[in-house]
Amino acid sequence: MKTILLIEDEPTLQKALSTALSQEGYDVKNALDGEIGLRLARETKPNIILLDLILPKMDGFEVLEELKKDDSVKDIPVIVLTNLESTQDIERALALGATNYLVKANYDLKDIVEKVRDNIK
Amino acid sequence: MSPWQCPSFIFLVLGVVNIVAMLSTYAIANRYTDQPEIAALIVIGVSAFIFIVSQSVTQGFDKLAQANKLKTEFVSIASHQLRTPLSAIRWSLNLLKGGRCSPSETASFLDLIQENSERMIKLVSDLLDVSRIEMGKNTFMPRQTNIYVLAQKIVNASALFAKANNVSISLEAPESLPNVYTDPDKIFIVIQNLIDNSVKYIKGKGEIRVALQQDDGFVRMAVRDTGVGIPKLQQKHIFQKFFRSDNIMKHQTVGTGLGLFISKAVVEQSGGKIWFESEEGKGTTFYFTLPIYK
Repeated sequence: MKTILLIEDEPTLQKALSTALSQEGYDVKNALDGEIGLRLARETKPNIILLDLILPKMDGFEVLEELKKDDSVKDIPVIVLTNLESTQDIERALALGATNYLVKANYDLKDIVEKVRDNIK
Repeated sequence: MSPWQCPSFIFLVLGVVNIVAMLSTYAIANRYTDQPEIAALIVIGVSAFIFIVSQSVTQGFDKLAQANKLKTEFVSIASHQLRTPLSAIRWSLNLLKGGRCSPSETASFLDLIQENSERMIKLVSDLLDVSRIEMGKNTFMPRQTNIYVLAQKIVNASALFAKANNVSISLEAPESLPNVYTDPDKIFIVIQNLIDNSVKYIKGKGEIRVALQQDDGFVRMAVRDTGVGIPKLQQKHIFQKFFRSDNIMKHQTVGTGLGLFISKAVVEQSGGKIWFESEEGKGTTFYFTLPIYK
């Protein structure tokens, strides 16, 4: 079974996303802040990471930077899933090595599941 | 470059004007006086005048740039804040329409939709309040108000919500308390906000004590809670628009980050003051004063 690490601090969004992904047969691990997210990524080596940007303790950009610096996790694809959409944020996330950048409110869950299926290792 | 930034040619123009003015005043001053000290004094005076004028021109541009930046920030934060509940509603509907949810999941996604639509309604009305306050179009109709009756109404209405969260709530006031001069509808929102905050930021069992007291020409209200408190480093930002402290984010309570900004505006409009004392992990007390009706 493939594992997805979902780093999302908003409980309602986390619940909806993890339900949809579990229904597709993925094993979903949840992290409610950046620090826990980074630790779980290193410990569980998921097949893909869904990463929010505004997070308590450590924001998504920092998490992404740390992930890409660490040889043991740097090849795991990271989809940034956020409601920020300034060009600056998008460029910064992609420059840091994000595989994809999705604005939450613009997508149905099935589109997100599809992106996960396309990118998962 | 933002449209309001001071264009660089203005600096050049102001520089040239300054030099020309200095040279010409020097020439003119020389013609009218033989004393070089007076000529120099006139030149210095004229340059100082021009310096002040140019300074205020560039500062005017800076102010516009600042206002423009705030507006952009406001739009981007507001849209982010609105999108979160919108995403929650959209995704919950996706799941319900997908038909693969158990009855208990179905019930919880319906609750999510309800909660998030309420959150959006609250956010939109808060945003409208904020924009009215900022444009100075906030209708404020002060009149003689019995603050005790108002507080009692809110405390009674909140008691159920508080009890559901394991929080007890009480109201203390002296036998006789003068009426205050404020807009009761607006101050209602302030008291409601402070009490709601206290309930939200108490984790587990706790208590809220609302107290009224006469203080010189004012009546002072204190809302004391045994909640998570406000971290010292973040205390200075607490009345800023959209600010929510780290430890609140950690406890994942829903909020718009606008309540205290609005409360401060309302209290100040009434001629009162609002402040707080807080210790992280122990609790917070918010105070505000309202002038006594004369």
